[in-house]
Amino acid sequence: MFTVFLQQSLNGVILGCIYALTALGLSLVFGILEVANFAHGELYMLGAFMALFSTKLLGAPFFLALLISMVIMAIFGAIIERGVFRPIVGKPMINSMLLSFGLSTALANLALFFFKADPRKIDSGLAEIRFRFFGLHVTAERLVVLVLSVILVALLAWFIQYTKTGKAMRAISQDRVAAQLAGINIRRIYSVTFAISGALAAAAGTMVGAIFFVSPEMGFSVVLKSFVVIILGGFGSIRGVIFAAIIIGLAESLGGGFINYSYKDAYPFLLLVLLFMLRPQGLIGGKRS
Amino acid sequence: MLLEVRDLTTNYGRVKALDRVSVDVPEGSIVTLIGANGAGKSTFMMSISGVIRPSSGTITFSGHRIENLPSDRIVSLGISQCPEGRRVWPQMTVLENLEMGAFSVSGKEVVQERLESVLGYFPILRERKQQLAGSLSGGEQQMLAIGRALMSGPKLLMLDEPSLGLAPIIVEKLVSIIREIREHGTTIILVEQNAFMALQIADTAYVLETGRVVMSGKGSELLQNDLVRKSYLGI
Ligand SMILES: Nc1ncnc2c1ncn2[C@@H]1O[C@H](COP(=O)(O)OP(=O)(O)OP(=O)(O)O)[C@@H](O)[C@H]1O
Ligand SMILES: [Mg+2]
Repeated sequence: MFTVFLQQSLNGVILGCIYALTALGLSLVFGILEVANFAHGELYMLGAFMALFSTKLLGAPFFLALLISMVIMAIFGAIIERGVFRPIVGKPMINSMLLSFGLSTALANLALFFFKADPRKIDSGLAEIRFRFFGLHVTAERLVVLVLSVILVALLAWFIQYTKTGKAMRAISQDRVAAQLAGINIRRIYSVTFAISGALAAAAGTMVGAIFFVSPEMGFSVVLKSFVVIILGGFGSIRGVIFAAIIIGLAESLGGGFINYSYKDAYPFLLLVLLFMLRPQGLIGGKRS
Repeated sequence: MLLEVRDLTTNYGRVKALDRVSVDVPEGSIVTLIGANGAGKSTFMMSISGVIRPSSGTITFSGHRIENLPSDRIVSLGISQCPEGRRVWPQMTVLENLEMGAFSVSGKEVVQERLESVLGYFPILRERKQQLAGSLSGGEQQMLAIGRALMSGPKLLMLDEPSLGLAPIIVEKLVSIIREIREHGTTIILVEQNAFMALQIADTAYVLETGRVVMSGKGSELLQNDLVRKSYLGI
């Protein structure tokens, strides 16, 4: 029983790392452009397909495929920022919600049409290598997912904290007009933000595509859970988002393991409802200023 | 003329906030705009900075037409604004706020030099360098906002109510700092609630009333003008 608990917890943490990647990208876009991007899940889905095709069609090894998919989705992210979101920056939130919801549906259906619905796996070549410790089973694949997520999140945190572009991103999210007056090229920063968001989503999608599978509708539940994560974590707080992501991962994994697997997608939302009742100010209590 | 504004009209939806405003700012001068609340002073500055798009009129800055340029290009050309209400980035440190003020500047040494000169004007900021801007007192935030606006090394500095919330003794210091900045070759547009102070240090003054220029002249002349004395100086 206890080993099962530990096993499910480990899986929950790994899942949480994936949610952290998708939620951080979503939260960056939300904080800097002040748009809600419901098509974020499709960046994740398309990223997974890009990696799948890189391994299947180009014969690229897993890490190269991951890199290719991140680069392609960064460019794609910047393109949809330019074409779809930029005209509505500064408009009421409902605009971006409707627009991105439409984009999400369109992208998912295009993927269904071109890529077909049958679930496929990205072959990382690491699934067969198994480790055992304290009675727990871990594949090298899952370990790689864990390590890669930690590296990507650390890179992001470093980028935002220390680089000029990262500081400009923070400045825009705290006061856009002041950022304009300081000579910050906000349009360029918007593109960079969407590119980062797309790359992180692609990384998450690729890793999920290796552990589970790739399919055109895989983005739907992820985008909702990512919104749950950023609501729980407090908008704009990297630490809060990571913390909330892991809690959501654990809720899903433990709920699925011990209560009922068929409802695994419901546990994060139940948790959100509970939290709204108990702590309306969010987990960390930090509001974005 | 360093800055030539001709028939500038700016609307917020149906509200006409500026109505064919023309202003000349000679190089090396201090020009002040005075006017009641809602007269359009801040709108004027935001239109020059490219944050709000004017609906008609022209803005020429040292030979460049800038009324359609994005705000970052306007800053690179040499116009900087310290906006009304400070607007520092509260969750960033004092140092980061200043560094970001130099966003358009390339060259680490230049930034370092400017930083030193700004910290020279406002020594208190040196002590607070690593503190979050949001934790500064109102007056300190005001100094930070002015310092940040100086970091881009502007040819034209626009100050929107810089003395707001400052103690009288600090206001006096601010006046001398403004004069000093001008001595170093920076042209200044100043908006002040404290019209008396503004008219004293300005070479030229414009009086705005509901979006229109109703009067202009030398600062010293307007100080003697009966209408100005009654409406804006309360004497
Ligand atoms: N964002 C806005 N939307 C709509 N109307 C606005 C907006 N900003 C300003 N206005 C209007 O434009 C007019 C000019 O405002 P502005 O802020 O330029 O005045 P001001 O001279 O700076 O006043 P104050 O001395 O109070 O700072 C006012 O009537 C104001 O109500
Ligand atoms: Mg004003």
